[in-house]
This record gives sequence, structure tokens and C-alpha cells, in this order.
Amino acid sequence: MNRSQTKYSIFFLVNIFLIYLACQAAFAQTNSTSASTSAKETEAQHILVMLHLPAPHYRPDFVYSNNYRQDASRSARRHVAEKIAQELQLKLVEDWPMPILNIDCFKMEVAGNYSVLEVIDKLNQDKRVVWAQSVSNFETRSTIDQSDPLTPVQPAQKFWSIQEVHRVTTGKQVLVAVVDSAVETQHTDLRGQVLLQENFVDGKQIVSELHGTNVAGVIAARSGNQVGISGVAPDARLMALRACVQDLRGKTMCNSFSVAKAIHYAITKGAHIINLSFSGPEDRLIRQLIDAAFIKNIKIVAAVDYLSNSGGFPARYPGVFSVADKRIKDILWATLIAPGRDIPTTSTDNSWSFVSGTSFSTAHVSGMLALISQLNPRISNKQIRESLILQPDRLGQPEGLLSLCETIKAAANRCVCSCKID
Amino acid sequence: MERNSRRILFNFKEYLDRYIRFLIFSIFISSPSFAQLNGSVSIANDYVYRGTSFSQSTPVAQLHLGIDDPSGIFVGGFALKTLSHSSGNIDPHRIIYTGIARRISSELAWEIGIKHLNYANIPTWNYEEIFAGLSSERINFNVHYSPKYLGQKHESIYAEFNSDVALNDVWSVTLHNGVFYQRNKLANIDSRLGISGNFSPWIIQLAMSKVLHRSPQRSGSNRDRSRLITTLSYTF
Repeated sequence: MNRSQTKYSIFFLVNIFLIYLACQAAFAQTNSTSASTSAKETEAQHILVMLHLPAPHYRPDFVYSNNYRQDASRSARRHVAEKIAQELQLKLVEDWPMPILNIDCFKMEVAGNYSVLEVIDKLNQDKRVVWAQSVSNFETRSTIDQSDPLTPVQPAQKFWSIQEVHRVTTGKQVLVAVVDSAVETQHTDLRGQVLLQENFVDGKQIVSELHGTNVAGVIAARSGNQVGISGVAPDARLMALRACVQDLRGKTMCNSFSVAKAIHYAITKGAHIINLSFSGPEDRLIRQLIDAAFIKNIKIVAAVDYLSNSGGFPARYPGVFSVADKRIKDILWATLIAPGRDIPTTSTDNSWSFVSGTSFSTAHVSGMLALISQLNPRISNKQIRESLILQPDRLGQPEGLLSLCETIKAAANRCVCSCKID
Repeated sequence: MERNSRRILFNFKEYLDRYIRFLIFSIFISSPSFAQLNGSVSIANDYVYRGTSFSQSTPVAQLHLGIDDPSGIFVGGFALKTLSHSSGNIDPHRIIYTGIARRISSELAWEIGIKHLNYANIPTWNYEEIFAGLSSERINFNVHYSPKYLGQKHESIYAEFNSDVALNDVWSVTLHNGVFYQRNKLANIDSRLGISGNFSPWIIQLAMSKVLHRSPQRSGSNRDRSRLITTLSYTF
């Protein structure tokens, strides 16, 4: 075969292959699609296996790429994961590279004769594996009361003089990641407030869900549109990151894989604040991602779980702003108290409702941090903690409530409420 | 003086070969399972390297093997074979390389390394190059320095800029621009624009390569034309 014939043969073969692949792509699902419909019921048999993700480097066979979803060494890692799965009778579900932690996270289903704990133990002794862990389940902290129509009285107005504060700061140019269930981005009070929306649960079209929509409204509902409520930081912009699922009973559940993907995404896409209105067991993967977020001066806000003696995770993790709606003895002395009872906020189907729970106290603090960040963009977590000031006790007000006005004054050196001229 | 230089360079090459073998051995001894082995097998209708066809526009088969250690050290080898046997064909170079790469943050990584290019048919062309670079999610910038490019007696510097913009989970647009300096003068500028489809483990690349500038000393009627390069790879 001469040179031309060889060249044309290769060209012809490549074109045939392209057509074949195009047909396959039209009907196939990608490897990264997962169809978890119930966050909790299937996660009991799933584990996470972390393999090392090399930094991008010279390769004479391919153009350089830091695009981790497409890098040429992905096949090699997948091959290792498949081998591990075969050895331990596991089923490979999907993988998600997390360059912040230098790992590729593989989700696997435990389907054979070994128990989850046995498999994790074996994997943590395997030199090919950086570490392995179970998939933790997280639950949001809220109750929903839809029996009363929305009223214009918001606790944020009542206790925090939010209208006065908004004359000085509204959270402009601050990006808040809401890691939660799906947000109704086309809600009248949220239209234009969500910068981007991603679904880390399944590959299906996003359908709005309650909890995420409630939380988003508390943080950044539009202000001055003559409708509904005003968010604590109405000029902040949201990343609506769906990592949690609302089940048929209205309960919202999340798992550590989807939450980890969402947090990793938030960190890489420049979030300033990450709102985590849920709690669950300690999780190494999420812990390491939170540490990575702290290095970038990202503020993490999480809801306290009253049912847990320590307040639940990630609220109890050092450095996280743990938030509750009331002072409970022995619960995390460093917990912040913010409004969390009878909060009017956005709800699904373009409606509003009253909600209660530490989920919404968390959202209030995320909004507060957005207000501070507009005035002092470089403020550190430590500086914020040193600036926190409580409101004087008043009748009808939660004990130990944070004072928004005084905290902003201390953190940003700006007088925002009823300033006296000395 | 020249004999000493040649002796130094020959020793350096020998040292590099021994160093790479030692490194591979060390990686396997210290963490036999932890280091990741990766590779690819490819066929392409042409092998264009820095704007020049090193396979005389004949199709080639390529094999790449690499090892990535969690410490950041990487080692690899790359070989090509022309698929057409016209007379006068010269097999393109083989490359062995090693280096270290680390992430500075999730968006930025650096690397530094050294490679040896070997021309089995023309050993006098053999040479070494040191490279260093920075990579972000979409772009990469690298500089390659050789004290004796293609066996010639002068230094060379090749600076390249690469970009990979993902269109979706499968397709991406790739762009490469390279500037080559030799004898402290601009020798040539090459560019490549293409698309890449990742159907893991298969990767297909279609690219148009063009030399935008070539110094008068290096010009040739056949060398400066645009080339369509089609590559099909199987990664493992």
C-alpha cells in the first residue's frame, strides 16, 4: 500500500468511526450521568473511592488540558477503578474529578458479599486508593407552615432594621452558593437573582423544590419590586446548586457525594459564601473541601441540628459559622443566633410561605455575611468572628440574637443604623 | 573545547537515561501500586511537530506510556512509526521525558521537566530539552530550551501557548501557537486549530496546522502549507 492509499484509508476509517460515535452519542447516556431519584434509600449501599488525580503536565501525545472531565489520563484512572470494583464485587456508578483535593472521586455500589464497612476497610489499605468512605446522608433543618398568608412583617425587618441597613449595603458583587434542593429561579421575587444553576443529583431537567427556594428567598429575594419580601442581601447573586432532593413527603435529603460536587463547584467558580442549611454525620470528603474553601477565604455557614449533642456536621466543624434560631444549653457555645421562626419567604409555584428552622437562620447569616463582604471584601473569617455583636435582650426577641447593625459597624467600620454624630 | 562540550553532552544524555530508569524503578519499589500507569495508542495521517511534518506527510502510528506518582513526579516515553514504506522515509523521533508537576490551586498548576528526543535513523539529531510551564483550566504556557537543538551547535527556545475550551462534556476546541527561536533569531511561528472529541477511552482530534512565519533559512516549498491532521487515539 503506498502513501496516498494509506492516508486515505486512515481518513476513511476515522470518518466511519466518527459517524458510529455520533450515532452512539445520540442514544447513549454519558458515563457521568447518575439517575438517583431518592437520595437516601440507595445511598446506604454506595461508597466513595478517591484515586489520585495528577496535575496536568507535558504529554507528547495530546495538547495540554486542565479540563478534568476530558483529560487523557481519565481512562487510566477509570481502569484502576474498574479493577478495584471487580476485585471487591463493586459496581462503578460515576466519577467526579476534584482537582482542589487532587483526587478523582468514584462512586461505587456495594453489591457483593462484603459489607460496606468491610469494603471501606479493605480499600483504605489499598495503595491505589487515597482514601475510601461511606456516603453520608444529610437532612435539612426546617419545618413548613403554609397555613397563613404572607404578611409584610419579616423578622429581619423587626429585629435587624434591614431597610436601614440596605441604605448602606445590599450585598452587591457578592456571590452566595446555595447548596440545597432546586431553586425556583423564575419566581417573581428571585428572577435575576440566580447567576447560575447546576444539578449535582441527577442529569434530569431541574424542577423547583421547596427548601432551596425558601432558603434562596431569605438570602437574596428582590427588593423594591412591590411584591413579596426583601432578601437580607437583595443585590447578592446566587449560585443555585442542587445537591439535595425533596422526597414525596416534602422532606429534603442530601448525600455527601452530591454535596461534595456542589461545594467543589462553588469553590472553583468563585463563591464568596457557601450556605449549607443541612446537617448530618461527620464526613471526611466534605471536611477537606471545607478546609480548601477556608484557604480561599470563603465563608461557610451551616445549620445546627438540635437533635445532635454536638450540633451536627458541618455546623460543629471549626471555622464554620454554625447558626441556630434559639439558644439551647450545651449546644455549641460559638453558635450564632439569627431569626428562624415564622420567616416569610419565597416558595414554589411562584408563591410565598412561612417557614421555620435553623435552615433559615443559616440563610439570614449568609445574607448578613454578604452585606459585610460588600463593605469589606477581604474580611477574614477570624475578623468577622471578632466583630460579632449581640443585640440587647428585648421582649419577644430570641435570646442571644445577633445584632446586624452593630456587627456590620464593627466588621466594616461603617455606621448603618441610627448613627449619631459625635 | 568542542570535544569537552561533546563529552559533557554525551554524559548528560547517558545520565538522563540512567536517571529515568532509576526513577521508574524507584517509583515501582516505593509505591508499586500507587503510581498510575497511563498510555495511548494512536494513528494519525501526519506527524507535525512544531509546524513541521516529521513523517514526510505520511501516516504514523504512535504509542505513549506514562507513569504519574502522587508526589507529582511523572515519567514517560513516546514512539512513532511511519506506516508507509516509501524510500527515504525517516522514522520520526522517540521521546523519553520526566519531570514534576504540582497544583498551586484548583485553577493553576506548574511543571518542570526534561526530555530526550532520539532519532534512530539519524543519531546526530538527538538532543535534550528542558521545559517548564504553567497550566490553568483552559490555557497552558510552556517554554522549552535546548542547548543543542537537532544536534546543531546553537541554543534554541520554543515558547508555546495552548488552549482547550470545552464545548460540552465531549467536544472541545483546541488551539496551539508556538514561537521558535534559534541563534537568538525568530526561526518560525506555528499554529494549530482543531476540535477534540473525548469518547473515553477513544479520543479523536481534527486539526489544521499552519506555519505562520518561517525564517528564510528554514523556508521550503513543501514545508509551509497548511496541513489537516486527523488523529484517532485509544487511551488506557
